[in-house]
Amino acid sequence: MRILLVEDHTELQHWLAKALRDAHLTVECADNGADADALLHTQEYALVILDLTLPRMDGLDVLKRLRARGGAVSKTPVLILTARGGLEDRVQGLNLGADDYLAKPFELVELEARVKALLRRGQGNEALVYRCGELAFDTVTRMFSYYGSSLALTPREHAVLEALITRSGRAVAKEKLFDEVFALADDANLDAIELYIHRVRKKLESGQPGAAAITTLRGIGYLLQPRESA
Amino acid sequence: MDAPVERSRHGAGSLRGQLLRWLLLPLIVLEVLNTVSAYHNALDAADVAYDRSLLASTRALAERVSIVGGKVVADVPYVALDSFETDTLGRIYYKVTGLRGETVSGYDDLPPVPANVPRSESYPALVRFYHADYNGQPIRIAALLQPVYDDSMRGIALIQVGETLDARRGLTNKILFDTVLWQAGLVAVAALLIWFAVRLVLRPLMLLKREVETRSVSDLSDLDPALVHKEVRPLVAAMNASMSRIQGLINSQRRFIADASHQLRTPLTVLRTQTELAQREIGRHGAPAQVATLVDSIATTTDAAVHLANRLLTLARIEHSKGSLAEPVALRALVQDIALELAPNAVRAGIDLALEAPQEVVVSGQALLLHEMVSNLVDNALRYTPAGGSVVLRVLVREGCTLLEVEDGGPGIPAAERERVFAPFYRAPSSMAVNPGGAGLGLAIVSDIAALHGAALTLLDGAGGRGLLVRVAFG
Repeated sequence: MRILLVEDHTELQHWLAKALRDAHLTVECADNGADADALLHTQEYALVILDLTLPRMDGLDVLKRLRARGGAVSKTPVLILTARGGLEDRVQGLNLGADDYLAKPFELVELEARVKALLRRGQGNEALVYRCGELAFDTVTRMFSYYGSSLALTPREHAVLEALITRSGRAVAKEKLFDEVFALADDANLDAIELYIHRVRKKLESGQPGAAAITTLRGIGYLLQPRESA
Repeated sequence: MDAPVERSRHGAGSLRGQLLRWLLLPLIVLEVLNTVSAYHNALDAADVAYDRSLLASTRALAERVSIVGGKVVADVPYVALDSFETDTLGRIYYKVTGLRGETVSGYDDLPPVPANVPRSESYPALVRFYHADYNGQPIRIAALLQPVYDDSMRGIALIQVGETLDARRGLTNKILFDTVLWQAGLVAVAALLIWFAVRLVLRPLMLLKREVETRSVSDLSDLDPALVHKEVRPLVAAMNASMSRIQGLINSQRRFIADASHQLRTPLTVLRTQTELAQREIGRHGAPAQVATLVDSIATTTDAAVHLANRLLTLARIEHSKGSLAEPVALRALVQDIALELAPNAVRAGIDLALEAPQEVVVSGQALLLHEMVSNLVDNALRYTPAGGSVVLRVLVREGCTLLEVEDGGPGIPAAERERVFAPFYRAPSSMAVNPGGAGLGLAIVSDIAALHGAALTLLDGAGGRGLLVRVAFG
């Protein structure tokens, strides 16, 4: 997949391009806004990684012009990189149609995760597998597998675990989980979630490296993470 | 101002005192002069009044002087003298001198008429009035030249009548006393008027003072010159100009800090990318253990530098923020969001993170800043709590006050150091061992944001005297 990296800092451009190429992506580079704008007029990319502070044309203008053009090209996902980093700047960037926003200095893994997520989104219904340790969830077959074999779950347990694993390592609020697991018609109690968590937790117990574990954060929510191989 | 301004060690002193001094002192001097002149007028007036009755007595006596058998005689009844004395309230002395200068009757040693005393012009009679001393006391004497005659001779007799000054003194003293009393009253009324007038005139300045006193620490906006008199407006304008210069200075310093941390970000990103790539290379192809350790510590140092740059920027941006401070912010939801965000870090570090918030509480503030404040508090708590410890967040309402509490299981901060930890870059010695990469900015940021929201920030001991409890009390 071909992506466009627009970054005026030569060294940063070099190293980011290297990291992205290591991740098997085709990377083209531009070091100013005008060049980026010209490239976007002639080429199609799966993703644009765009620095905001650019010579010859500001990153936000490049974005504005891309989005204003209409057609399929104008829907190219854009990930903004910026040293401005203020929350107000972030809001402005997202309002102008950026798909994601990463403040410098970011971690490489974070950049890669965001890039992958945006590419996935751009590709629509391509098969996607979420993983947590040895636990995997295939979004197409909608099946869980654990240590390679399928994991038997009741519909509610399935809903709980799906809600947790699709957050990719982020915690989920108890209320949110409740909304996703129980339909509005259900007159279930918020504490019922605890019961399903308990059951799923039991099914995930393995005692082997690569086990996935659900941590309860009292008053906050739940987090699915691979158990530390201690 | 062109004229050199004289400044005493105590400054300009009191306006009221100065006005009182400058108005009252000349007034008092004028009053004293006025009193002195009034006293002299009183003396003259008393002399005129009493001289008339003294002359009457003298005339009455003169009528008793006649020539009997070639000799001047005076038939002075003591009853008459007594009645004179009753009239004048003093003692009466008299002397009748004959045609040849012989004493006919009365007090022989009564002081004679001094040579230079002119004839009084107020009366048709040949009378002179003069002051003299008699028997050690001052007296006023009327000397009347009275023609006496009979068939055989004629001539002029001298009749002198003196009286002590008791009555005159009484009158002049009374006039003086009245005058002094009046003048003193006048001065007192003037002083009172000045005092009240100054008070009235100073009222706008006092209003200005209150306005300056009650504004918030960071408020450097212009003061309204219309608050004060036209004459004082240049002062207000000068204050405004000075404040805007200060504001400009603060802004440019903050801008510098913001720019500097911006500038730091790109090289830090490069450094971070390079380090991560190096770590990957080592993971993939291996390297001597020493090199691997070195690269790992470069990564740690880079993270610390990133952390520092981020917090510096946040600190610089707090006062810069243009947003409203009166948005309704759901505090429980905000804290829960931050807890969800930081939960992976907590779980990775083996820390039990919990939120105790019985109900949603809405406070008024700026959501972005409050988010920054709470994430700094929680981030700090997680950094200082060892594995197996716990961090408890609380949102509660106590006595009408919304409290946000973050309690950690770390080393705590000794009471003696608690004041200092809010200062930027200050690091408690106890925190060095636990979080060597810290910048000492977290609590400074928290303290700035709390202050901006008028919230009180307190550091307390955690439960059982362990750990640190940070409490933010919203008014």
